[in-house]
Amino acid sequence: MSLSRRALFRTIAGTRGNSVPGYITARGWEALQGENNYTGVNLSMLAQAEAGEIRISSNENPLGPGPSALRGIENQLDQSGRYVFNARTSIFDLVGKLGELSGSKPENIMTAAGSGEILVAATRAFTSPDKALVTGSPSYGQPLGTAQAIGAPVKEIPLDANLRLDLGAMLDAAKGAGMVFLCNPNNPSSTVHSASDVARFISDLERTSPETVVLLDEAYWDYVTDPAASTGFPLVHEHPRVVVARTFSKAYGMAGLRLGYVVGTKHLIDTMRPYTMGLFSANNLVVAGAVASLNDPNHVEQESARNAEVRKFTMDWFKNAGYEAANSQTNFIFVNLGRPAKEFRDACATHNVHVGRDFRPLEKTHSRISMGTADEMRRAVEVFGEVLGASTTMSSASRG
Amino acid sequence: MSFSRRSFMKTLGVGAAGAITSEMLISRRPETLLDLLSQPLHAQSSDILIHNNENPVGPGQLVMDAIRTSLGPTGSEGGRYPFSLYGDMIEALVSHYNAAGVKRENVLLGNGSTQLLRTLTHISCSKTNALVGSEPTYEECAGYAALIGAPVYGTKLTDDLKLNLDTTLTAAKGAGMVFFCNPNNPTATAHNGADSMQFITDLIKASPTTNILVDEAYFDYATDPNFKTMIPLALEHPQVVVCRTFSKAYGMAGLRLGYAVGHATTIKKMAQWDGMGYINMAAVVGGIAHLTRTDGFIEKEQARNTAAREYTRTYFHDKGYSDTDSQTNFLFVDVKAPIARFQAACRELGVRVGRPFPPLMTRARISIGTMDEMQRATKVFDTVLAQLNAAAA
Repeated sequence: MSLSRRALFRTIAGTRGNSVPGYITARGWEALQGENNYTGVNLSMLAQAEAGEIRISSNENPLGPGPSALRGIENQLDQSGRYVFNARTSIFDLVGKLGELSGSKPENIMTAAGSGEILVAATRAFTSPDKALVTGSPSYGQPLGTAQAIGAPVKEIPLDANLRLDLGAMLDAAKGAGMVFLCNPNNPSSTVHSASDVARFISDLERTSPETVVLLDEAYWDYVTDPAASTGFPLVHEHPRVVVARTFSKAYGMAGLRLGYVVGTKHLIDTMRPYTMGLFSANNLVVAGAVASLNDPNHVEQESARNAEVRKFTMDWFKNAGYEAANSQTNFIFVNLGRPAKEFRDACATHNVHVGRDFRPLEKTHSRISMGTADEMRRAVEVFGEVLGASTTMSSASRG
Repeated sequence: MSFSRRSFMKTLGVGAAGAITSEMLISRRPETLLDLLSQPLHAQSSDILIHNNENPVGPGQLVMDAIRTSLGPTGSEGGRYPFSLYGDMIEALVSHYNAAGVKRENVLLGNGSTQLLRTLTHISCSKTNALVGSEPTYEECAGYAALIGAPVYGTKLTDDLKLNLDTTLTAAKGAGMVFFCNPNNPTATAHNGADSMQFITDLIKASPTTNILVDEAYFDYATDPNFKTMIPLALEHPQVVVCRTFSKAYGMAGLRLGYAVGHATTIKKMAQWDGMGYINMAAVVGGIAHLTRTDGFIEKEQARNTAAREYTRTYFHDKGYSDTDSQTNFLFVDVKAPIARFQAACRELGVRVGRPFPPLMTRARISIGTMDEMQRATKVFDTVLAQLNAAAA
């Protein structure tokens, strides 16, 4: 937690003082779920992030929402007492903009409190004890956890040698399945499949298993720079079993404010909607922030460019240090350190640099590192160098 | 799915599980996007919005300042996942309820009480474990019950439009959950502490496997000194969960924050279903600000609402229209005409009032706005009621 946040609570609380013991560093949802068997009540392990900590564990955008979104939020603050359908900048405004962005109509779009709610709703809607979930391994874990909780079988398909989702193997496993979770780009391995590969997968699946739903999670889409990749939005109109999930938590920098959405045929959206909180899901500050950001044509472009530079710097550093990272098309890298992620993470933490959690089954070798600001990554790689015992041309140059 | 009186005619009881068929009534969420999009007009910005029981003055400057500050000097904290704040919020609730003996394990946060209503319904109900409530009452639980194929039974209200405790007690035997909305939405009525406690303890004795969700969303607006929270019962009995919200008196409907208070075992089961990861930082920051403030916000808000509520009740009574003994921030008025027509006519004139609540098809649910808004709204009601009377004559 930043200094300003702690100061805020002291001011509000007066003499209450710091009454919360035993916090650990603020981390993302994945970290809590993966490491602490987080059920929502086991809060004694949460901790305040100290000022000066480099938080590169949860794939957050270090700059936050950005000026346009912040203006939108500021202008909506006095609407806090109104539901999203009554607020000055309303859910209708947002859905309209999302329709423009995705080339679809309001009936094809559903918003939620983060794409997490979308993933959970889809998994609950389309998998069951009789209908399996197919997911990569490792891939983003929320659908897997949700499927397990409802007793749906899960087929975990190992990544290929290039740390990409193994589409061929996933296709085979998906016959008769309820849903395939296709995280593209993949979290945690950072890789992306080309437009043609994704399209072929979907067409093939339609032939071999026409009832199976494909949940295409494009959370990191805005960071993709590979020209061979393209968004799955257009696929929704040609393939009735495909839904595409997006979020405002990454490039739009609003992870704290919780907004995601999904695009699909009316039938699939109508099927999923009762599994969500509907119009009582998203809050109206993030709605206003999102509309303002969507109206700012430069925001995503600039953020993607900023990230691409930092990503290149970090990837180059690891390459020069002799460590192989997957071809990242996101705001994080997945690097083979040849040692347990926990060991690396704990060592970095002693220097106040916080990297990603364990991602089984690759936790004995691979670490996921999110991209902070350029300054933060310059400091972070110094720590990495120390921890890894590396002394490379790159790090020498930066110290010289 | 609504709470249907027709369904109540089916007998419930031991061994009747097979005899209960799920009646597929029209599934109806309180609001769906397509419902609203299909209306010819969205609210014009000058409309008086008294249709969704919102607090018209919002959460106030302190809360807005707290939210603004929490985003950080460059706003960048908005980009950080907010999970570490949930512990602070729960601590604030534990302090707030210190006298009642609430501990951390007795509290669960929700994305509005919406999330908690759905979660407890999920845990309690199934194809063989029905949901029971009054007809009408707040629809969120019934909507979720329809999703999971749980039967929904609605009991007829008393003459003064309160939950009928006796018939509900009978109907609830062997059921999965009773939804006890107190004060009730949309009827605005409330049962006092003694009657509520008796009902709950009787139900626990008669049907120990039935859960009871006491929805106290409008708690802060109740002015009857005999109205009491059921939190003590929730702490004592695993069957009882009390839900509260920041959406009404605390003026944070758009920020999405509620909480459940219950026995540790029940709270844990609820947490395991949905977790707390949807809740945004502004909600939590606002909630903490409210719970730790010492400027009498809630007392002032209650007074503001009471004054505007009394004004509006007097208006209707003077014109010969009856309502109910409102313990909330809305009235439930018999406008002596089909509510759909009353609602449409008001909208034409820039006043949004509540939707129809079957089977009470001449009752209008009218939220209490600011005093100024109610003074302007009643002028519109004058016109509309005159039109409807003339049409009926």
